[in-house]
Amino acid sequence: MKKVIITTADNMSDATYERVCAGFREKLGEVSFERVTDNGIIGGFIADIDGEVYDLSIFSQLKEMQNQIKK
Amino acid sequence: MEEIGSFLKKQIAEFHVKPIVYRCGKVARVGDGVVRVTGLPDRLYGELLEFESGAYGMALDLEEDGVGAVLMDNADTVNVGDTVKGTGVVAEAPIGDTLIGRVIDPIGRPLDGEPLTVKSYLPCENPAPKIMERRPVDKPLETGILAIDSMIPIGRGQRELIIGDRQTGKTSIALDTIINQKNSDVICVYCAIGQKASNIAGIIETLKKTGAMEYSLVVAATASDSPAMQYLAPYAACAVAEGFMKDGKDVLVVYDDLSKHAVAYRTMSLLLHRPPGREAFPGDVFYLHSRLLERSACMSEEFGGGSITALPIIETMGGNISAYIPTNVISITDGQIYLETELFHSGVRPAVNTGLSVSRVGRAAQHKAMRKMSGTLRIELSQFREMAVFTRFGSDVDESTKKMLNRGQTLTELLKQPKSKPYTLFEEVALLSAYRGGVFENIAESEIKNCADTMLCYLHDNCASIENAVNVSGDLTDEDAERLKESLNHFKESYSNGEHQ
Repeated sequence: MKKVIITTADNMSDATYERVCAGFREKLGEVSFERVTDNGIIGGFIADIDGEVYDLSIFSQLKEMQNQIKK
Repeated sequence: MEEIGSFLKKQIAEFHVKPIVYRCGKVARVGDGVVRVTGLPDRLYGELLEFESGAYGMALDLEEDGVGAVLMDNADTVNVGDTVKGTGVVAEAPIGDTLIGRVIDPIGRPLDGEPLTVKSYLPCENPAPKIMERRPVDKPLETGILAIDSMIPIGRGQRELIIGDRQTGKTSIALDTIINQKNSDVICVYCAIGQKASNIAGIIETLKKTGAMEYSLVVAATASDSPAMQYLAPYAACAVAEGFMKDGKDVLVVYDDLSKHAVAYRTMSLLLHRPPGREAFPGDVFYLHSRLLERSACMSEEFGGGSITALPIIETMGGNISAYIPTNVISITDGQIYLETELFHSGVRPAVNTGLSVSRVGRAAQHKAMRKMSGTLRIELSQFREMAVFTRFGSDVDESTKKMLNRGQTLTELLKQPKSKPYTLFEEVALLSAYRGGVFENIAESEIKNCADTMLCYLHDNCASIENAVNVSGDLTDEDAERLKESLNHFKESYSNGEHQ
């Protein structure tokens, strides 16, 4: 069974976290979840599925925006 | 101000939030600058990896379940469990004219405190030019050092090894060659590998003082940099040179020195658990240098017509040129300049041992004027050195041997040359012509250098037209040779009369 590690900031409510998990379950079928909190990401979440990372954190998005504006 | 505000607003409005997807591994083991990463598939060989702390590493061992990497810098910031991202690019070096006069590290970061603007990059590891893209070496690269230009000539696109013990003047020869490119169109790249930072600072100072920094750049990895940086330095320097060569320019690269490069690679390989071979070097240590030096080439006109001349330096231990790394590099290069401690300490500087030094392609590229003059010089000098050893014990020598010894001593004196004082082609030709014409006969050994300097001053004043013709065309016509001979005879007469004292 695949394992998804979800990193969130601690301001994410349990209800929102459950919705994120439900979304992954819909796409990947039966998977196990592990929740890690890291306030450095500001908000949003980062999902690590067996080494493949989907980064939707506010921190990374802001960084991406910064890179785009720099160009 | 408003414009900037509205521009930013527009940029932000146009920004779409989408997941940033990448593959990521975890650090399983870290130590001695080597990292073992698990779960980071589809990596390139030599790809740069980015660690959670912002440190960079290079993937050198690709396996099914992980990657072995060496850290480029900030090794102490990496911990077990840190995430690692692949950057998708192999190590690259910056290229372009903005690099001239600069000092950079192997991954292109400026070390001289000024910001660096770079338009493009080339991978550090590039394949060597193909056979059909090359042409034979046919243009000389003047070092300005009489002993080398006359007996061991170097051509543009050649690889000439400078080999010798420590403190024999290896770096000086390379620096003098760079300094002598002042009025030629050659761009110089000096690559320092594993040297003391204070040494490199001294070298940069010399280059600045002599005005050589106007057409040179330095790629430096000091002894305090990681082995990975030292390993990468010559490849980066070569990539920088290739950038210039692609624009049809002639480039000179000095790798100072490849013994330390081999040692850095040995460190990395042993830490990566690669099997050690002779002298604990890994099996691919020959390929390490051959693939670097093969990238020096003289390109044919259809491919830009540029060239890369390489002057790799190897430091021997106790004069042993048959050790592992020296023999490897000797066999790769197109000749070597062998410097000897004994000669150096007896005052013969540059301390070139002409018997063991050779240039395998340079003859074809020598200037015509020089070729006419240098003819049998090497043999003469070798015979003299042999005879000098032979007659050291007995004082009874016949007249012809005595004459030969005298001529040999004169030649040895003439070939002595101070640091950072390169000769022009005309000066070299004039000195050899004077030697052949017997100008220095009957002059005391200690006076020869003085006489030669006076003679050069005299010729500058009296033979300006020949000087110009030789320096521009590289040839000495029969007519000019005759006039030069006359002037030399005139000088000889006036010098013996004490007119120049």
